[in-house]
Amino acid sequence: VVVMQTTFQAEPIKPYKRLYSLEEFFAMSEAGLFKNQRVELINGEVIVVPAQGPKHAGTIALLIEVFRDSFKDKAVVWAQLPIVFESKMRDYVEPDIALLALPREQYAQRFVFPQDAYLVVEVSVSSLEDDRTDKLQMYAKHGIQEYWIVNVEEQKLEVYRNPAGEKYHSLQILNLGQTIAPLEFPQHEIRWW
Amino acid sequence: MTQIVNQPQIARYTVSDYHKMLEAGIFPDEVKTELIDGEVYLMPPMGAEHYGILVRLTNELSHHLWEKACVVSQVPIELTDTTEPEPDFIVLEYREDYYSRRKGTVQESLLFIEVSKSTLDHDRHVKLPKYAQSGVPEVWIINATKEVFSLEVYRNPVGDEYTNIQKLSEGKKAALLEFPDTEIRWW
Repeated sequence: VVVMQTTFQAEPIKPYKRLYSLEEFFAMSEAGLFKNQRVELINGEVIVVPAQGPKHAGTIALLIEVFRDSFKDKAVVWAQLPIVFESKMRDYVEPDIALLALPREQYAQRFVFPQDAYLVVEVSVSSLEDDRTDKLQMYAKHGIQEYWIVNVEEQKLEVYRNPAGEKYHSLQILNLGQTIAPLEFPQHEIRWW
Repeated sequence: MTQIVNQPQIARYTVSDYHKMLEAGIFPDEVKTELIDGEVYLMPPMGAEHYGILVRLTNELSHHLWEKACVVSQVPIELTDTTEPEPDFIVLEYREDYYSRRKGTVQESLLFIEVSKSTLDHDRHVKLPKYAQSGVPEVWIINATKEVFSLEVYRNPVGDEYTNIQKLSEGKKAALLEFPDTEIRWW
């Protein structure tokens, strides 16, 4: 007869930083915590987003116009509006621009999820490192098919495609003046600048 | 919450934000929360041993400090705009009205006591520096971890440290800086 002895010692629970769910994030917003402040919710932590300088804002304004002209009646142009990623802690992020599947009316009824997005664009003035690492990993992980980074200072466009895990397998870098078409709309080349 | 950032940053909350969160029921199930440096920490539930130490100390402190000081257990105290911890005990200057009209302040605090089992690291490295910064004149940490049972007495706050630290083992009574002749049995 083999007697198995096991000792079980529970680790004492230590103090830890509180993380927030999407519902709690909304309750905090309703309670007036985020007045005059752009915030996102990533991995349960509330992230304060910097105010936008003219280079950032101006580039976004330009891109909104270019996207509207190019994808009228084909996609929804979703600028600095929320997308929700379903994970253990649900993330709430506001990409600079996303191109979403029609019809637009559905997004007044429910959150936008990654599968609604053909393309996500971030405009980088001071946020390049973050956009290439944390943001990129997050978009890839949640299956955003195509991700563009507009590198404003160096006037380049980084086109990431084929998400796998927390990476994109394909990266193409375009210079000022070159044209590009999103994967979803190969006939619709746009001049990105 | 007004936070000026030039890179995305984790939000830090003020005491006023924290109170709004408590009122909005953001923390429904948890036993206890504390705001330290703008971040909300969840504190572990109290075990039987911690409870026992609290009961003993409540009686010991009240008895020896009767009409010399006011003793209060497990109430929040606002240390800065972004820090509101809940020490196990606060010993406040004596007031005849027993602080019935307003809360005690850091300036009126003579001593904070923390009973530390699973919270030892947190008490020593996260909370103690804040206590020193806010000028709490004396802090006792009762180290009640599995390995040790001792009292750490921290005095003379300078910056975010206490420069005078003493350790007492079980059997050695302690006295507050303010009342050196009043010996307290802490174990």
